[in-house]
Amino acid sequence: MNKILKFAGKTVGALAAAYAGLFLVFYFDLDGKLLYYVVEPTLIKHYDRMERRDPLAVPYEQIERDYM
Amino acid sequence: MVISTEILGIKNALAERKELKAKKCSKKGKVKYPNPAFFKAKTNMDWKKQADNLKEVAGIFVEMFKEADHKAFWKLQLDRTKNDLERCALEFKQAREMSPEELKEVFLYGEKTLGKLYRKGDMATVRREWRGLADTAYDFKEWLKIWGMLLGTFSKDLIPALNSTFHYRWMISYFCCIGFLDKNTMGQKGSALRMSHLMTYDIFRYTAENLVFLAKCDEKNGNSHELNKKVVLFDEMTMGQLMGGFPDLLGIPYQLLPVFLVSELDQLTCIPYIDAVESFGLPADTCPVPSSECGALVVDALPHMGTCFLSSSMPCDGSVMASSYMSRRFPDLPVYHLTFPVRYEYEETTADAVEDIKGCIKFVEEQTGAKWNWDTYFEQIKRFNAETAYELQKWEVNKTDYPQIIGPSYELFRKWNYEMDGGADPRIMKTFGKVNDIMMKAYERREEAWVGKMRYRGIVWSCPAHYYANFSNWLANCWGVNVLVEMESLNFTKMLETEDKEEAFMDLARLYERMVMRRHTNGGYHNVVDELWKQVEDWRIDIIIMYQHVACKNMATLQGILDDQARDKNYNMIWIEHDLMDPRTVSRKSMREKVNEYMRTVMKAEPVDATLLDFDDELSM
Repeated sequence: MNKILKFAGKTVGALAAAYAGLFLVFYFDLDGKLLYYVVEPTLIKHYDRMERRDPLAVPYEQIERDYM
Repeated sequence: MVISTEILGIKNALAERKELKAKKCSKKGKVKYPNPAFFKAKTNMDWKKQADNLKEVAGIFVEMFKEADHKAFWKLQLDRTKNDLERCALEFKQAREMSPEELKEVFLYGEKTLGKLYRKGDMATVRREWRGLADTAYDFKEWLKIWGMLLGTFSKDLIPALNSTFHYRWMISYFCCIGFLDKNTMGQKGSALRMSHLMTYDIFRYTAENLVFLAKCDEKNGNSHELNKKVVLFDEMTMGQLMGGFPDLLGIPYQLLPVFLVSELDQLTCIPYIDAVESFGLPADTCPVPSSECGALVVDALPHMGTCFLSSSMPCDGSVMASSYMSRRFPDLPVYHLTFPVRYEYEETTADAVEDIKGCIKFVEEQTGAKWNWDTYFEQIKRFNAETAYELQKWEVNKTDYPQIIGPSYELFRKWNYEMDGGADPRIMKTFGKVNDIMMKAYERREEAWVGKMRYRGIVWSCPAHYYANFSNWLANCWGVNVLVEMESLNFTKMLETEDKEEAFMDLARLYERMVMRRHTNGGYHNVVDELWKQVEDWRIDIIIMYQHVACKNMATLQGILDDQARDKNYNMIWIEHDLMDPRTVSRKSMREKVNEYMRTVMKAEPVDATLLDFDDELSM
């Protein structure tokens, strides 16, 4: 019985800690801060360097069709 | 051999059961949307290329770490933390100076000044708003729910979705969508907050699901041949009702996610596109919508996907320009140009539009092998009609002395989940129902949509600034100007035909001809000038927020007329310049300044929240 109570107590404690932790992330906008200050600058550097297909190399023509 | 036969048998039995279940659900009207098979379609990824890309990203992380000025980085973090602590100390001091009643008021009903949530040079807010005990708890719950939904949706096919993040600059803006939600709901409490959350959830779900589809189909990522065979792309400004007749196909507004919708989330997204296309000689006074669409093609920011593309002349010639450019850049993608007559009030032109729709259906049938289905079309239109009825109910409530559903979340939900979705998604009906219930109860209780901030009844006219989608939120919080309705929502509200096939086409044509923005800005003098004065009377408006999109040639021709007539009629009209998707021409701060000046000098008013008069958000999304 004691073991069950202990386990239940621990589970409730862990859930409460997770809830409090998530609330802190929410309230201080830590999710936004991580994305804005860490993830975004890193990825922008990557986007700037990426080799991309040159759409301007595609012949500039239009295919004519009649569906009326 | 025996085992493999048995496995095959089990597989077949399971597939049969699934099919039977789907048929039963379909009979009960419980169709899963979007079709789960679309998410499960097999991808044909080039793993080597994706691995190279990932390797490059990892390399950049390492390089950045090595190159970074760690001293400066940590100094910045320390300064931010110090600033945060100083702010906390200041807020604590302010709290101590409050009387117990005031403190209780803030604790239970939220803070009154919101300008302190911004910090100069920062992209994120200092912290989230304290809305009072119950509403903050609700906001937190919804924050968790949205993160859960986003992660759950991306997990439906995680790898292509992740790869997409490493390919496309615009993807990162979507990661920051919760910040956008905060800006849209700033200052809202009680029923208004709940309605905003319900609607925003649907907008984000619609976006997340379509992002997964784009990632799955894109040649550079998922490259799913199976799904691509079912995908019909259409111009971002074309409403989705037409796809109701093709239940087995997946219609995707093509540039919506890489360009149009994301520009509302993040004011900085379209800048690289605009610069790219202007560097090729496009004049800088062109409307940023087609400019950004063409620029996205130049920098290869659009996924390569789908069986065909439906372009359109909606809302204006800008779309035609961008569609032509697009069809030349992806010559392997067959294009059908839907070009509805602009003179829509002449009924004789409707027959021409119907021919165009029929041609379009024939085109889709030829390209995809699918057949037009009247039953599913009528089913979707019935849903759309029911949504229109809910929409009209909102107008009725907002016309009273106790408007309930105002703010950016409503404007965006109407645009994406009602008009553009066109009744395709059955889940939207549930949201409409829930929002309607909350709205009616709040109306019966005579609640204030913005508590203590209901001073002026406002209307928004002309094209709004995408990079300041939450402008109406600022208007309410700073000056108590409550935008009850906007020009873009006052479109075609006739119930569409759901029995007679020929008349159904006529109604669809009428709807498309009067779609968002097209009805007014392309309809000529009567539809945009006279109509405004009529709406001002109907809604008993105190202040007209008159947007002046500096690159919209249609509206520019009417500026002097609108100005003269407003003066003659003695209406309060605030002209607010903007450049739709380019915040460098007219910044958000300049837009706010126009209102501040008018309210101070003409209205002789005092702000509701003076901390919002002047703050810096040039860098924030």
